[in-house]
Order: sequence, then structure tokens, then C-alpha cells
Amino acid sequence: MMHYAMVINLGKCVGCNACTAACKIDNATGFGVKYGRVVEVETGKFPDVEKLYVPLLCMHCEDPECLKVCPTKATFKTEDGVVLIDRDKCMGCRYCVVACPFMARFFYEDSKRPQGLPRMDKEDERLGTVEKCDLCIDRVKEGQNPVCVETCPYQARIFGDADDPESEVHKLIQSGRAKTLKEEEGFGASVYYIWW
Amino acid sequence: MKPFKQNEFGKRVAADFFLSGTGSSMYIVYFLSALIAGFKLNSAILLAGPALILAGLVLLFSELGKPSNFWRSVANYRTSWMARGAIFNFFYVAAGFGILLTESLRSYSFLPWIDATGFVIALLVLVYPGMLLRAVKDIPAWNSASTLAVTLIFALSGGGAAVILASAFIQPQALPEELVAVMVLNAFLIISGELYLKALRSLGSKKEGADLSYKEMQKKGGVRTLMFLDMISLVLYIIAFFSAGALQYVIAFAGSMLTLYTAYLFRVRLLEAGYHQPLITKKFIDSLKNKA
Amino acid sequence: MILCLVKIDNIKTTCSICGHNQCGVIVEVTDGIVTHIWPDRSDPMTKGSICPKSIASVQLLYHPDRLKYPMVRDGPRGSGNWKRVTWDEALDMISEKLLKIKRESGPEAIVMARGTNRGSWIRLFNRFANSFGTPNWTESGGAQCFTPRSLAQQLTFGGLALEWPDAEFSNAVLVWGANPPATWPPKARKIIEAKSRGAKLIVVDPVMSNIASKADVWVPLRPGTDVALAMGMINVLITEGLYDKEYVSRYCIGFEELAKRVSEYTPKKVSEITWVPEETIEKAARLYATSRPSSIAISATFDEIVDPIQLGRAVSILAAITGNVDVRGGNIFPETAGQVSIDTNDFIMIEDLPEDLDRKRLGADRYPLLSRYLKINFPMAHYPTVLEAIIKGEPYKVRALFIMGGNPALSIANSERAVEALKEVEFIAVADLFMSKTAELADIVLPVASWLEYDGLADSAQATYGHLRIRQKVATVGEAKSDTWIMIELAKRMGLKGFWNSEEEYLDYILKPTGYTFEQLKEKGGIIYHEPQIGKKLELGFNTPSRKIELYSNRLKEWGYDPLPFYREPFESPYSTPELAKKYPFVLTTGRRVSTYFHTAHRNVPALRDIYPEPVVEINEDTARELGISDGDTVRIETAHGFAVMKAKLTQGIHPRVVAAQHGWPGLANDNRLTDNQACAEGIGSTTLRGLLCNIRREG
Repeated sequence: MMHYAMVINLGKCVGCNACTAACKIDNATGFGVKYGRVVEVETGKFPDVEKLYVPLLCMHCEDPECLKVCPTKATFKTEDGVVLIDRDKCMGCRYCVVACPFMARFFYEDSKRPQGLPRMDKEDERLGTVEKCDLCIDRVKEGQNPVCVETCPYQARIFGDADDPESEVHKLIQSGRAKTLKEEEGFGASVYYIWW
Repeated sequence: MKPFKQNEFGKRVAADFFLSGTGSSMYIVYFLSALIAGFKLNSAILLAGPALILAGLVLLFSELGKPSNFWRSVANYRTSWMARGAIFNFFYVAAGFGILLTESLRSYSFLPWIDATGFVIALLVLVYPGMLLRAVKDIPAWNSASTLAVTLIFALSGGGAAVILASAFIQPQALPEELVAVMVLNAFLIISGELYLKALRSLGSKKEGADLSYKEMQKKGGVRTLMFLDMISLVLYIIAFFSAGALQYVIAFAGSMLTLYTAYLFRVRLLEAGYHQPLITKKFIDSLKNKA
Repeated sequence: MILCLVKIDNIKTTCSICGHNQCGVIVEVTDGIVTHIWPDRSDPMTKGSICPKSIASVQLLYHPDRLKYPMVRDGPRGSGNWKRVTWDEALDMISEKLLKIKRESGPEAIVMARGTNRGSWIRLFNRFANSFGTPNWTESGGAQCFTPRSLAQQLTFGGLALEWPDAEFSNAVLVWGANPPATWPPKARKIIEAKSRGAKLIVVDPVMSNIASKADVWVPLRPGTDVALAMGMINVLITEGLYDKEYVSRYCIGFEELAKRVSEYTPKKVSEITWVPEETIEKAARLYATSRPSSIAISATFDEIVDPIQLGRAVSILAAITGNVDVRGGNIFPETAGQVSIDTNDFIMIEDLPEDLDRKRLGADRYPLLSRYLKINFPMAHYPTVLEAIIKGEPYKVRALFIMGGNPALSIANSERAVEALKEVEFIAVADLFMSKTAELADIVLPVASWLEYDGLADSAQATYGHLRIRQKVATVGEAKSDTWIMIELAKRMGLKGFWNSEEEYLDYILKPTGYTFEQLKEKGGIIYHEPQIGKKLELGFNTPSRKIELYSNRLKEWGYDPLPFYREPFESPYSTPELAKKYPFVLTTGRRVSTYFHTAHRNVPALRDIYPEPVVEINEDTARELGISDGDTVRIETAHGFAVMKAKLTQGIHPRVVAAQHGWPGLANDNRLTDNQACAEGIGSTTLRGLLCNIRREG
């Protein structure tokens, strides 16, 4: 059984956002829609400050909240653990956007676009439905890495089959060093983070 | 990182919840008063209930990004409260009109079963918005039983107020009994509101998202303000009870409008205070760096 | 199945979206459309570094607002009315106009200005100006970017060693006034790799930037006080004997004088000046010196202070006395891969310019280190002086501006004065990709090709460490042409000496000594590479008069400047101008960068704008609370020179009395509304962009 997972090294991530840009270009998303993005997290008090950059994306949960709440069954999960949206079925109620614990789902709103900024996205085709990271499933099926993994200049992202004992992701997850966000809640994220 | 709040469910969704809650609880009040007090309210209420639900559905429909897929909304009834809600709403509207139709045929014996069915469906419609919110596991303030409870109570009070409103026009002789009922409801509402804030605060001490929800709910314009308005409404009901004639109708009307307003506003505040748990916590970072 | 019918090409080329890093990339072209840009991990120089700007160049290519054909203004200047013309018409007009002005008022009446080039035409532009005969070429960066520290390094080591940390082999990296993850991905990649194998990182920056967040020692100094810090660190190393005595005795001169000079820069004194605790200064110095080999990464901040020469000198000295220059894992010198070096006096044809014109160069009298030819520099006109020459006609009237890839309306200090000059000057021709704020005020606008639209070479000084890589044209946008082509065509029309008949001829000329033509090199894979010859200077001598590293600079002395570095308070500071500080109590640093924008460019690229949508000023969280400012509030920053309006970002990663404003936004958010261009650095004329005084308050 395949189960796709990603491990992101927060020691290496410098917050450059090359992944965010690559994802936006590849998926041609509209303003405000960032399937993958990076947030800054700061703790401490000057001058003893710690700062981290955390890439976020859909966690492709094992027990996805979005799937449970979707009324039309537009959101579904494949056998290899990828959570996808059939945008032909979505009615755009955004219940899933509300329910997602990871802010990973997006609904394009043109009013958010800054004045004067042109639209260079594919939104017209998919207007009115919810969208999110699909783990670059088309690329992955061809044996390639997702765009964000392939792009990272610091090679901070590792991707693979968590069920394959030879894969790097499997080993990192087994080592216990890799943690998911909101682990205690049991959503079962497939995106893990490690430190160096 | 601070807890983030949801931004998708806004005033239109609040209005739909309000309409659906008011519409369904109107029928519950109608049914209960017939069953318990033996008092038959005007059957126009049987029209108003489903009509309000229908209005709510229209609002919901206009909120959708792709309404052409609305017919699919019942597909995932197995796990989605929104799908279930769509089903309940549909049946309630159907049942409501059915009951109205059969009102004139009361002589037939199987009709009470239709009433009972309508009542059960009305209960489901009453409950589904709270359940819909409760199903959001990651918003602790919504996920709590106390939120569900207080949502139901606001809905019932709204229904009662709507009945008052209707009666002031069409069945003023029923007012005195109804006023007693809503006085009790409002008093119950005010007490529940206070208990709710307490419960939310204690939840807030355990979950950071609930803490922000609590802060949002108890600030100026929040639940306390609504409680205050409901107290005024209660006072108006009392005055109305001791008044007569046109004055009674007017004061009762004013009281019910106020109650209805707070019922709507509560939904708005609740949705605005939908804070998730923080995405990245110090605990997470420490565990990652092995400092835990 | 369908994929087989679609033609996908993967073309290896070098990006030049920022003009400096020249990251090796692979451009994916699907059915003739550029669809994606990938990092090229096989590139021997950049090894897979890339940035959001490069990736989003897909949108740059197909952007609806790209200039597609030459245009001539059709109405009053700045009215926005344009008439399309052909290239021939436009180039003929420019050529005729410039030659006419040259005949009437002398070549010096024409100023040729560029921004930071986006390719390797950096020195071709100098050659063009010198061949034309005007002494007045200048750059928006210029005295505030690369030039001062370049001179300081030339004086000290006879080469640009501070520009390239050999960080992959370092045990410690000192990043000073630089944020490589945002602006210099190849360096950042090396640093992170070094960190992964346990190297230590020291970062000197008033703000906790991307790279500072990875530091083992973060040194948040008061903006503008870097020289004091450097001298303090040298003091610690000499006092504690942590410098490399053998290296100093074999390869350096002037150590004794240096030691005497730094003795006054005790940690205590330096701590008072820089607002950095003594322990931090000592820790930083010790870590750098004892982790050898250690390397240093610097950036333009070195050139944006009250006295950049001193900082360039002081940090060069720091690298030298610790034995970290021209060694593996330290700082190494650039070298070509055998091609014609464009970074030479010879290539830029400076010596063709008669001496009287050299003396006439705007700024030559007050800023000779910038504007006079000193044999080890590329002299340029002093931009603030150019503006006054346009507006006031002093010392002579400048009648024409030829601007290539520059946006002085927003990017230079006192930008409002620049706008006045642009409105005043008789003739302006601008070459750019978009209708920038500067282009809006032009008489003729030329559409320029982006890095995806021309063949070229990645041969600028900061991209050649034994490497030469090519750039390949993968797309065409309208009639846009490369800057190189524009200069070659103008040179033809003007009959300029030392130019070529075509871009191809030019590229083949540069490549000649390697034995390849451009096409042949392309066939071979587009890369020439040999390992940098580290240690050659140690073996054969440095390119200085003494053949050693000159800690003490005789040349500076000859020219009338201090031969050793010394600290100078910024022109405005709580200590130099205490009265002003009462009205403007915060220390301001401007010019902060983010990874998605390059100077004033790219706010119009949708994918990039989505990452950093608004102009931001960073304020200490506690200070902001006291001022009633919340995160995301609109705030007004005021200095003695103007005001700007930005969004507040609250952070603990900045000193409570320091404020840091982002660079390059248009309108009221432009940071150069806050800066001054009259108080300039001694000798070199740099405007101060880091280390000013400001006040800040919530707006509305």
C-alpha cells in the first residue's frame, strides 16, 4: 500500500518562498490562493528571539475533517492518501474551508485582488469552487516530485512513500524526530516537520 | 502563532441559521402548545414556519460559489451535517405544506401522525445548525456541548418571539398565555447565556482558540449585550402581560422584535468568534527541537 | 497518452532577474509557451539555488503591461500619451538628439544612467558611455552600492575577496548586513549547507532577518554603527591574540599601525556606540576567528552608510588578520573562465576619455573617490550632483538623460528631487520592461527583453569564480530587444569606436580566448568551468603596490584620506544631532529587501505580489504597544526630509528604538521619501540609507 508523505526540514527552510511562487505558477492560482505558503513564527523577547519559517500546505490527513463535512462528496481521498477535490461536484459552500484545521483550503475572491494587479490565473475555469494543494498528483503519478519539493533551493523538503521501508520519509518518520502539526488532535497529517 | 478565525461563514449564513431556527421552533411551539396546553395556535404559523425555512434556503443558495451543484448537497448525509441539514430542510418544507393542506381534513384519523412527523422534522431542523458547527472539531468554542445548547435555546426563544409577533396580529386572544411562555423562555435564555459564558471561559483556559472566542463573545456588543437586550425584552413582555388591547399588541410586538434581533445577532457573533486552535505552538516547536 | 503529443523542451540557461546571482535554471517550454522555471542542481556555480522572482518570470514574460514596441511621447511629459514608432525611428531619434547635444554643449551635458543591470551589460554600458565620450555615466546604486566597498577591497586586497564566501568549506560564516536568502540565493545555499554540517553562523543585522534567524550569534547593532563594531571585533582579536600572526607577518603590511588605531575601540566603548552588549561583540569576534576557515558575506548595506570606505576597509581587515583571505573556506577572489574580462579598465575603454573630461565629471571635485579615475576603480558621476546639474544648471547644464534599466523616480535617495529633475531635463530616453515611474516621464521609451528573451553570458564579477555560463533566448515578447542590442545599434548610428555589428559578434568577441564561439559553447553544454585557483595571491602576491594585503593604505593617505579605518557617527543620530533626535527619536534603517522584489520592480507580478502584498515597516512590538500601534496598522514614518506611509509589522526581532522600512515601493510608501541626498559620505559621495532619525505614528 502506498502512502505519500512529505517531511520538511525547518532548520533548512529560510522562508524564501520559492516553493510558494512555484506552486502558484504551476497551478496558476488567483490572488490570495496559496496552496503552499510559508509563515513566520517568532518567540521570545529582544534580543533573545527565535524565529522559524514554516511551509504550510494541505496535510492530506489520514482522517480529514474536510471530507467529513463536505455535503456533496466533492472532497475525497485516494488509496495512496492524497485528499483531492472534484471541482465539478463542489458547490462552493466553504464548509470545508471553515473546518480545515490547517488553513489549507481556498475560495477565490476577486475583491481581495489589489487594484491594478492583472489576473494571470486559471480561475475563470474553476470559479465558485474550493481549491487546494493536490500534492501535484499528476506529477507524482509519473514518478516526479511535487513542484514545491523539486523547487526548494535548500532541499528542505523530502517526499516519498511512507509505507516503503527504504524511503527517506519512512526512515525519518520512524526515527521519531518528525512531528506533524496538531498531532494530539489525531487528524493524521501526512506532512511532517523535522529540525535539521 | 495566534489562533486564526474562520472567515467564510458570515452574516448570510447567520441569517440562514436564524431563519431556519425561528421557522422550525415556531412549529415546535405550535405543536407543544397543542399537546401540553391543549391550546391551538393559529394555523398560519404552519405556513410561516416552512416559509422562513425556505427564505433561509434561498439565502444559503445565494451564498454558494456554484449553486448549480446545489442538488448534490444531500450526497454526503452519512457524515456531513450540512448534507443532513439540506435533507431536513427539504422535508420540513414538504411536511409543512403537507400539514397545512391536511389541516382542513382533520377529521381523518391518521392526521396526528403527520403532525408528529412534522414535529420530529422540525426538531431536526432546529438542531442541525448547532450540530453543523459542533462538527468543526478544530474550533473548540463551536465544538462544545454548551454552544449547541445555547444555540438551541436562542432558536426556541426566537420561535416563541415569532409566535408572539404573529399572534399580535392574527390571534391576540392567545397573547396572555403565550406571553407567559416566552417570559419563561427569555428568563431561561438569560440564565443560559450567563452559564454559557462561564463554560466558554473555562474551556478557554484549556484551549487557546476558545479563549479568543470567549474574549470576542464577552466584549462590548457580544453575548452580554444580547443578554441585556433580552432582559429589556423580558420586561416588555411583562408589561405587555399586564396591559390590554392595542397597547398589549404593540408592546408585545416590540418585545418580540427585540428577541428576534438578539437571536439573529447571536448567530452573527458566534460565527465571528469561530477561532481555530493555533496552528503552530511553542510546544510543537520545542518538541521539534527536542527541548520538551 | 496526451502528454506525448505535447512538445516539452527543457532549456538550460542562467537567470538574470536580479542581474547578480545568475542562478542556473532549466526553463520548461511546453508547445512554445514557457510554463515553468526549475533550479538547475547540476550548475557548478549555483548548484540549484533559485528565488521566487526567477520562478515568477513566467508571468513577467506574458504580463499584459510589458512594453512591446518603442514609443515616443505624444503630448506633455508625463501625460501618458504615447505614439508607437519603429526601432529605426526611435534609435535614429535618440542618436540624433544625443549627438546634437554633444555638438552644442559638450558630451558632459549627457548623463547615461543605469539601474542595477539585469545581465552582464553592466560594463558594456560603461564602455558605451566612454566611447560616446561623456564622463557622466552613473547608476542608481553607484555610490550606494558595490562601488565604495569595491574600492575598499581593491585598496586592501587588490581584488574583490569579500564578494564571495567559500562557505561550503567554512567552519563559520559571518554574514554582515546581508540577507542572502532574500537576495543572494547561491550564497544562502552554501551557508545553509555549511550549517547542516555543523558550521557556526554569526549575523550582523539590526533586524532578525531570514538568515539572522539561523544565527548562532545575532548581533543587532544600531544602524550605521558597523565600523565601530568591526573595529571592536578587531580589538578583541588583537587583545586576545586570536588573529593569525603568521598570516599577518607574511601577507600583510601595517599591522602595528592598525593595532594602535583599534586600541581605542574597546568592547565597552563599542558597546555604547552600537547598543550591542559587550559579551555579544566578544562572542562574535572569537567565534569568527577561532572557527577557521571562516568566511564573510556582505552586501549593499556596506555602501549605504555615512562612511562606506571605512566599513569596507575594516571588514576586509578583519578577514585578512584572521587569515581567511584567498584560502579554501574563507573569502576568495573572482576569476574568469578564460573569457575576455569585462571588469577591466581596458574593456570599459576608460582611458580613451581625455583627462579634462575626467575632471569635469559631475562630483569630481567633491567626491574624487567616486568620480575621478584612480586606475583601480570605474569612475561615475555623483547622482545627487547630476540632479542639481539638471535643475540648477550648476556646474553646467545637463540636457539629456539616457536611462537603461533604472528607476530613479523611486530608487534613489530623495526620490522626489529625482522626479523634479526628470520633469525638468530637456531630453529623456528610457529603456525598460514596463512603464515604470521613470519611464512615464520619458520622451522616448524602448521595450527591453527580459532574461528569457536574449542570448548572453553570465560573466559579471559576482558570477565568475572560474565559471562561465551562457544564457539562452527561449521566448520573444513583442519587439522587445536586449540592452546589449540597443547599445550596439546606437553605437552603429553614432559611429562609436570599439563596438560590434551584432550581439552575436559581441558574445563571440568575449568568448574568443576560450576558443569557442557562442553557438559552439551552446552545443557543448553552455558551461566552461575550472576550479577557482585559491591561494594564487598568497603564492604570487596580491594586486597592490606592496604586493601584500594593505591593512594600512598608503594610497588613501596620498589621496588625503585616513589610511586606517575609523568610526564616524551617522549624519543624523541620537549622538550627533541630539536636538533633531528629540523630534525624531527612532533610528531608521531603510532599504530592507524581501525575496520577491528587486528594488522597485515586480509589485505588478501577481504570483510575487501575493507573497508580500504590502509595504511593511518593522517596529519593536513593545515600542508599538506604547505608541498604540497594532500589527497591520497603517503608520506614518517621518524624517527631517519627508514622510512615508506603510503597514506596521510588530516584531521582537528589532531593537526598541530602531525602525526598519522596506525598499522600493511606489507612491507614499516609497522609502526614498525619507532619505536625504545632500549629506554624502566623504570622498565617495554615498547617500545614507541606513542610520537616519525618524518618528512613527499610527495613521488614521
